[in-house]
Amino acid sequence: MDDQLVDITLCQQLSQLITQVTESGQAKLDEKASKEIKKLCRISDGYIKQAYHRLMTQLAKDHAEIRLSAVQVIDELFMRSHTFREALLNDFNQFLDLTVETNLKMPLPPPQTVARNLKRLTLEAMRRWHQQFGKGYRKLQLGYVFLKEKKHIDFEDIYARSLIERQEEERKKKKAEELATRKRECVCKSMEEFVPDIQRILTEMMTCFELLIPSYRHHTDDDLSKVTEKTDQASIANKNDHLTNNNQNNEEISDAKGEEKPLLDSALHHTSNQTLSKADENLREHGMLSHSHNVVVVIDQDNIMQIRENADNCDILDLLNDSQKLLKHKYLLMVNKWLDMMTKAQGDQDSLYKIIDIRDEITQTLDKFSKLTIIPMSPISKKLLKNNVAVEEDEDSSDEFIEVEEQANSDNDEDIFGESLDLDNDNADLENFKMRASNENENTFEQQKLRKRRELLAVAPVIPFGIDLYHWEDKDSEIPRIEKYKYDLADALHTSCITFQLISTNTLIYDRSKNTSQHQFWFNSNEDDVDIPECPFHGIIIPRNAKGQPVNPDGSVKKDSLTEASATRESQAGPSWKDIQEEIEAGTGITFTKPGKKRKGTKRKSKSNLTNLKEAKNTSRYRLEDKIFKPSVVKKMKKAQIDEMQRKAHDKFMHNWNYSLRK
Amino acid sequence: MLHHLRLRESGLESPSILPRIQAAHRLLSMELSKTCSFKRKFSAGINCLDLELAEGKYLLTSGSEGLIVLYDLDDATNDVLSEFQPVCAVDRSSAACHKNSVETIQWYPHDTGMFLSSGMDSLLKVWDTNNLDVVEEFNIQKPIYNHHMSPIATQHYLVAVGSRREVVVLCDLKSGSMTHSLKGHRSSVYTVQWSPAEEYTLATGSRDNRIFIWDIRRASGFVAALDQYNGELHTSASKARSCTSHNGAVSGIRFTEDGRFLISYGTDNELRLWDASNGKNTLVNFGKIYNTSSKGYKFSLSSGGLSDYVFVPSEGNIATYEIQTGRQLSTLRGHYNNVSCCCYNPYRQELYSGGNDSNILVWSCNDHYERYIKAKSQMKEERTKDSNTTNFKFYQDTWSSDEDNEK
Repeated sequence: MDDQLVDITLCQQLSQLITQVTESGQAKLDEKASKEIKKLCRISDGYIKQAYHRLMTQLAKDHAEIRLSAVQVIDELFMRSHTFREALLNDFNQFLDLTVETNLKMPLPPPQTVARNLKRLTLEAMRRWHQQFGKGYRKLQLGYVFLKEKKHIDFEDIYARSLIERQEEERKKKKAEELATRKRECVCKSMEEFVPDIQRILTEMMTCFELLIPSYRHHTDDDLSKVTEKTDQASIANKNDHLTNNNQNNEEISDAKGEEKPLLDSALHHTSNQTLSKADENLREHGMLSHSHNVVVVIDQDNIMQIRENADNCDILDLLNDSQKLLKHKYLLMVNKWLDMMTKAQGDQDSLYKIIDIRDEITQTLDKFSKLTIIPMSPISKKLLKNNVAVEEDEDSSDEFIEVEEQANSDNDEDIFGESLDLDNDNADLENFKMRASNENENTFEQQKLRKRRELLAVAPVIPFGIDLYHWEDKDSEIPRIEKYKYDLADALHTSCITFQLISTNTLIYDRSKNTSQHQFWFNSNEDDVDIPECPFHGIIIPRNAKGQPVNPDGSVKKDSLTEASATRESQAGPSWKDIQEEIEAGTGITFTKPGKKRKGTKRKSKSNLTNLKEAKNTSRYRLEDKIFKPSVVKKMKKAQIDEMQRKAHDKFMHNWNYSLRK
Repeated sequence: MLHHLRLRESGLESPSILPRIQAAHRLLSMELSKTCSFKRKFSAGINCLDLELAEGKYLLTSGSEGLIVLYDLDDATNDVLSEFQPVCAVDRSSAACHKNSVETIQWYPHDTGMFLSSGMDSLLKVWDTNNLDVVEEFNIQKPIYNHHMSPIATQHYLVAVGSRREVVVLCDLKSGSMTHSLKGHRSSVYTVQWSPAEEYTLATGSRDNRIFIWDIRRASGFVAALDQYNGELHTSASKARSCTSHNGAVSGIRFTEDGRFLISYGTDNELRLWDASNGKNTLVNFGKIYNTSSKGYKFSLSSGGLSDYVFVPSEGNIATYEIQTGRQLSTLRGHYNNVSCCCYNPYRQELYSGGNDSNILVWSCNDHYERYIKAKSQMKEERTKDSNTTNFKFYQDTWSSDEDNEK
C-alpha cells in the first residue's frame, strides 16, 4: 500500500535521528529528538518499518547504552503504532534475547550497570505492553507467559521492587543532602569558633619571627647608622645576608654590580652626610674599596637562620615553639578536615576559599618556622635562668618590668645572628666577620697581612679586571673546561651533570648574548653557537644558583618542564587559585570549571557520549593477559614444556638403559 | 474463488480443485492463530503431538515431564475466540504414567480406543483411551527415541521401536512379544517410519548417518541403504557398507502421503528428499535448516493442498518448504525455545507445534478473524457491549494529540 511511498530523504533523516538518539549514551531519551522521530513515523507505515529496522540494528550493537536508548524508542513507538507492534512481535524472540538475556549464550553487553538497567526497563515495558495489548497480540501474551513461567520472572515483583528502589533512592538522596547541610553547618560553627584563635596564633608567630629576625626592610635606615656607629651584630648579619645574596648571584667576576649596588649606594649616601674621612675609614674597615674589588665570602648557609637560645629570647622561643606545635598538631589537621568536609558536602566557594587561605597561611608560617634552626640552651643553664628570674621576681616584682623592656630592646640589636659574643669595638667585630668569612682557619697573622694589603690597595689606583686577566700571569693554571665525556656508568654521568651545575652556578656566569669572548674562553671553543651540554636524565643543563633555581628562568622554562614547575611555584609569591583549584579537583573529583572548554583533543577522539568499553578493558590486568596468553607465547610455552618432558623421559630411559647394561 | 465456483458448476474444472485451492491458500497464509489456543497444561517442554486422523478431533500431547494430555479440538465454543480444553490427562498421580520424558505418542491408526506411548524410561506402553489405563507394556531396556505403527497394515500389528540400542525392535501387539530385531545400524536409532504405501516396508534413520529401508519379511537384512551421493562417490565394493544419507545424525524421516517419497532431516542442517521406490536421492535443495537436536525431531507434512509442503522445526522456528521444489514458503516464528514437534491437521489446515517453552501453538490462516474484525469495525456505531469488540481497539494506532498540535 503506502509502504512504498516513502521519501528517501525523510527516511535518511529518520535513521539519522534514531542513530543520534540511541548513541547519545544518555539514560533518558532526548525529548525533542524522540518527538521528531514520532512525527516522522506517523506519516505512514513505511517510515515505521524503516524505523523498526534501524532500531533493531541498533539494538543488536554490543553496547548496553545503545540498547537501552533503543528500547526506550521502541517503547515509545510500540505504545503508538500497530504496524510497529506487529513487526516487533514478529521478531520478539530476538528482541528478548537482546534485551532480557533469554538466551544464556548471548549475555548482555557491558557496561553492567546499564545492562541491568536495560533489563529492568524492558521488563517494565513488557509488563505495560502486556497489560495494554496482551489480549490483542497472541505472541506478546506468549512472550509474557514464557518469561513468567519459564524464566521465572515475577513482573509484579519487578514493578514493586523498582518502586521501592526508587523510593529508597530518593530517601538516600535526601538523607545525604541533610547530612551535607549538617556537616556544612558544623564546619561553619567550628570555623567561627577557631578561626580567630588561629589568626591570633599566626600573628603571634609572625611577631615572634619579626622579633627574632629583623627584616631587611625594617632595618635599612637605622641599621646603616648603626653600621657606622655601633656596628652591632644585627647590621653585620644584615650585611652578611647581602653578601650571601651576592655570592648566590655569582659575584666573582667584575660585572656583579646588580645586588651590591643598593647597599653601597645607600652606604655612600649615608656617608655623604658625614665627613668623607669617616667614609673612607668605614670603607677601609669593611674592606670595601670599590665595586670592582671582590671579596670571597663563604658562608655556611645553615648559619643564616640560626638562633641560639639564651636568657633574652628563650621566652619568645618557647612561645614560638608552643604555638607552632598547636598549629601543627591541632589547627592544621582541623583545617584540613574542614576542607575535606566542605568539599565533600559541596560547600559554597567563599567558605572553601577562606579555608584554603587559612591553610596556606598556616603552612607558610610552619614553613618559616621549620627554616629556623634553634640551638637550644643547655637545660641546666635554662633552669638556672628560670631560677634567677624567679628570685628576681621574689625580690622585686616592680623591677621585672624594666628588665623585660630592656630585654625586648636588646632583642632587636643582639642575639639575632650566630654567636652572641660580646664584641664592642669595630675591629674585633670585623675580625670576627673575617674569621667566619675565611672558614675560621686562617690565623691572625695572615689576617693582619691581608688587612695591610687591603689598606695599601685602598690607596692604590685600581683597574677593574676580569677573570681572564686574573689568570694572566700564571700560564700553568688549568683552564676549566667542559668536555662531553662518554661515561659508561649512569651515576657517573649524573654526578658530572651535577658538578657542572655547581661550576656553572658558583664560579662562572656566562651570558652568551653579551660576551661571547668569555664564553669562548670558558668553553674553549671558537664557535659562536656551541651546543649546550645536556644531561641524559635531566635534559639541557642550565646555570643555577646555590638554591638550585635556574638563573635565567626564561630560558629554562622552555626546556625543562621540571624546573619550570618548581620555578613557577617558587616565583609565585601568593597562592594561585588555579593551582589550588586543580588540587581540590584532583582530590575530590568535583570540577569547578565548566567542562568542555579545555580538552579539545580528547573530545574529538570520542565523538559519542557512550561509555568507552575499550577503556574499561585497558587495565594492567588485561594488558598483562594479552601478553601472557598471546597464542605465540602459549605455543612457545607448550613447546618448552613438551621438550622438557621429552628430555626427562629420554633421560630416564637412558639411565635405565645404562643401568641394565651395567648389570 | 467465485471464478472457480463457476468453473466447477459448469463442469469445466474438477470438483476437487476448489478445496485444494482453498487449502493451499490457507496453508500459505498460515500464521500464529489469533483465535485458537491451547489451555496450558504443561510446565516442561513438549516432545510429541499426534492427531487422530479419523476425525481430526483429538490431539494427544506429551512432554518431558511424562504427562500425557488429550485435547479436544472441537470442544471450542462457537465463539470467535476459542481455547482448546484438555479432555483428560495422565499425570504424575497415576501409577501408569511414564517415569521419564515421553518421546513419542501415537494413536492406534484405526480408531481412538487405543494409543501407544514410549519414552526415556525404555517402556513402550499401550493405553486404553477410555479407561486411561495401560493395557500392554514392552520393555526395550534402552531409552526409546521413536516408535511407529503402520497406518495401513492389515496383516500385522507390529510396532517398530527405535531406541538407543542399535537394533530396531518390532513388537507384536497381537502376541505381546518382541518378534523381530532388525540389525544393521551402528548407533542409536532416532527415527522409524512405516511406509504408507506398502505395509511391510519400514524406514529407519540412525545416529550413524544412515537410513535403511527394510522389508520385514526378509530376514537377512535391509533392502536398501539410502546414499546421499547416489553411489557416485563410492566404489562398488564398499558401497553397501559405507554409504551415508546425511553428514550428521538422522533426526527424522517421513514418507509423503502417497508413500512415493521419503523426506529425511539430519543434523547436518539438511533436508533430503528420496525416491522411495528406488532409494535415490532426488537432490532437491532445501537450503540450510538449522538442526541442533540430539534426539529425534517430529516434523510434519501437509496434505490436501495444491502441492505438498513440509513443516520442519528449526530451532525456535518452523520452516515451511514445498517438497518438490525445495522452495521455502515461510518461517513461522512464535516459540521462545526450540520447537521439537509439529503436527498438521488436514481437516482444518492448521498446524500445531510444541516446543521446549512448553507452549502448544496453533498456526492457522487468520483471514476469517480479520474479516470479523473488519465487520466489527463497520458496526462500530452500533456500539454493542459485546466483550469481543474490545479486541478491536488493540489494533488502532494511538498517536498522541500533542504531536498533532506540533504539526
